[in-house]
Amino acid sequence: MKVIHLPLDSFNSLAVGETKYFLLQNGAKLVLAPSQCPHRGGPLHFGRRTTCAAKLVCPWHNNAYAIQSMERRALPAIRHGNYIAIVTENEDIRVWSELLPINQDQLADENEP
Amino acid sequence: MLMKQTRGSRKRSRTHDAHSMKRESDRMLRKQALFEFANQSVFAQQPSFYCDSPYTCPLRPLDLFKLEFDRILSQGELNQPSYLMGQRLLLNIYEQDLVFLPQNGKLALTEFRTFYHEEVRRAGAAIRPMLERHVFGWLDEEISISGNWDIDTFKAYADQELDRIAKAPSRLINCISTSRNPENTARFFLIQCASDFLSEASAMARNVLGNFGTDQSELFKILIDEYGYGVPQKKHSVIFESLMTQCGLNPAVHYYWQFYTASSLALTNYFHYVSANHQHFFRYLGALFYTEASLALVTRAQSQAMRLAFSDTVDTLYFDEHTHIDVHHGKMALERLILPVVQRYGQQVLPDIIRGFEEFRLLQDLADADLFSHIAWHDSLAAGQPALLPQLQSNARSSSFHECRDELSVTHVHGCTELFVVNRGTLRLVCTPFTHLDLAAGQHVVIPVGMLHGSVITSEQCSYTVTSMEQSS
Repeated sequence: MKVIHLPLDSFNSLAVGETKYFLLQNGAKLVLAPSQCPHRGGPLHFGRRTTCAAKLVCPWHNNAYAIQSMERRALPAIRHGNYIAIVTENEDIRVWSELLPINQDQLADENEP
Repeated sequence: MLMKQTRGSRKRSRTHDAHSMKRESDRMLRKQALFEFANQSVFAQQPSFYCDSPYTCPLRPLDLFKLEFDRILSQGELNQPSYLMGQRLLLNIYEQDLVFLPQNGKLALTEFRTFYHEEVRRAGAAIRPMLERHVFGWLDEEISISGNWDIDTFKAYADQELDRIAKAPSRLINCISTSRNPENTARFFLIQCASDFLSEASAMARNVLGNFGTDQSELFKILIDEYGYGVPQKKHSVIFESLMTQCGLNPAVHYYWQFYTASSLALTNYFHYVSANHQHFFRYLGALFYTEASLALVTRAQSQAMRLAFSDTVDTLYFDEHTHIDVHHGKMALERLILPVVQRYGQQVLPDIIRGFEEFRLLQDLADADLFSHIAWHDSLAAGQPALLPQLQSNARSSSFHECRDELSVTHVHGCTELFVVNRGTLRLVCTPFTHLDLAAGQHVVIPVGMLHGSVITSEQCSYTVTSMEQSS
């Protein structure tokens, strides 16, 4: 297995092999959550939060997922100040940044579907 | 509807006021308990920089008026006076649960009774959560664990961190060998270890009571190694006492209390913090694994550092014993404690275990960095003081003091870098038991932020001025 340390200001999205993840704020915690919706593979990283901010809504079919439960599929990670360490078996890792409205506060008050 | 809202908002406002009053009243009670604890005679100003009994650990209660413990310090503020004071207060509070009897045969019964007095204990218990939050709360901000951890990913992470330690050249060896006085530098390092090693594994003992099945027995086995199986000469604290004596140090518990840096105290206190309240038990297991596994790696270099400083005149058994036994303890902590605990209680306990591992690793790194900063400052003082007065801002904060012969200022740190100028008479600035600077009228020294020091007046009268060198906006 491989441990990778990444500066948090250098990325918000990451792929381990073919699987994509994105940085999702879960309360005080930062989670590297899977981007693919378990329903039909929709882009969860383009989803929106429900009013209580505890759920994430997939933009394709409006399925809402508890962020707490999404964490169970997230990459094992340790945030240490402005760095994050992740542990993964696959050494094929790519990181990049893109616009992720999900972490912007103004979207937190959208209505629950 | 409007009426209803008004009633509702009035009710909310009354509730808010009640909560504010309760918060304020709790704050006042904590403040009262803080002064009650710190103003005990055993924690008062002492006539010496050395503590003759384990119960008299001075706190500088005069500083309490200036310090605020109701907020969480950030990592960048760990060089501040309230961090040192908080750690000193906490160690005194935690150690009220431990038994200390002076080994020189001189038991001051009044001090003994005051230290363990019910009311002092009660005051300590009332302020402990506030102090823990003040000095350790920043760890919650600094470190967070997320995602789908299992035992394999944790082992992979831990292996990588331990491998990094194993491969890194020893900064301690480098620091001691390049310092101006390797023997005294090594002694200063031993003093930093003393707050923990002279009562080694006391925090661990807090965790062996109760009933947690076979895991309890595994932890107990580590504890009996630490305590030498009932054979005094095998007890780790006794082996450390012997090393101190051979290095020309006094091995009495807390004899060097005033020379413990805040970051060293934090290491001892962290283990008490996660052991005194068993909701942190899983964090304790992670921290235990880190410290045992990493000590097996670093004690070899520590042993070598002692030989470098003292040649072959000292027996390095203390560190050599850990190089050996902590290989076992690291394995035992992982394979016979953490693995079975995770198998039995599931992955839900892993985030706390990883957190303990990571928190103690960070505290250890900070303590190492602080130790090296102090040693660098001691070396720069030994190299001689600068001839020219540094430029000061015209509006710099400044305070003058007038003191008489033998007046001693218990060691402390300043919240910013300060210029210390003697105006009249003489004094001795004391940084370690072996590093001091005698200053006469007209002489000065710059004391960097967070550097531990005290002073004692060496003339009939002395006046000096301390001026902040902080850039004011």
